[in-house]
Amino acid sequence: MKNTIKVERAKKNWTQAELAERIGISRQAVNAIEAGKFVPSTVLALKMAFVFGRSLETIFELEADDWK
Amino acid sequence: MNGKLKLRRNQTIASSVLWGSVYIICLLLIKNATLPKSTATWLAIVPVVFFFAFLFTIIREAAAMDEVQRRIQTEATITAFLLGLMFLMTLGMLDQVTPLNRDNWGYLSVVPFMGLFYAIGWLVARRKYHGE
Repeated sequence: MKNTIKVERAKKNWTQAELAERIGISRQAVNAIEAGKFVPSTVLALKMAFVFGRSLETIFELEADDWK
Repeated sequence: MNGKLKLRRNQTIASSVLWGSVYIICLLLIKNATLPKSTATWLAIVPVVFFFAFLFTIIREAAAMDEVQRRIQTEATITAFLLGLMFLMTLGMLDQVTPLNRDNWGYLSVVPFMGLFYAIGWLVARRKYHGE
């Protein structure tokens, strides 16, 4: 699953630490999710979408590999 | 790290130090002091009480972790469990071939290996998710 967290963060001019603080996780967790190493839960994904003021589909998108 | 997690981590560290200290003191007393068998038996069981306190605090700490931290702990625990199982199986098999020297390969010698296996699992999982 790919995501646009880095782009959305840049638009808001937030660091990973600032985003982490807003959604109540560690900076390392934001880094792992942003790098695609970890797929967040629905609740966490919705929190991210909420703080960015975007829809979930704008931030997270399934890739062909996710269907295999 | 949020304040709640920091507090709980400190509680876990405190309870682990307490448990470890009690374990070592009881072990040294059992090994070196001349004690009646009933007293030694009680001393062997005393660390269990402190271990449960440690277990309680570590579960509370895990509840305060975020999803990625919990995943790291889960993978570290799975690694430690499976490596521990493999270690015990191998010792058991070798014991069938040649009875092992109990001074070197008794139950007590397995304890530090379990800690080592957890540390290996933790480092691998942490590297995987944190890239550090």
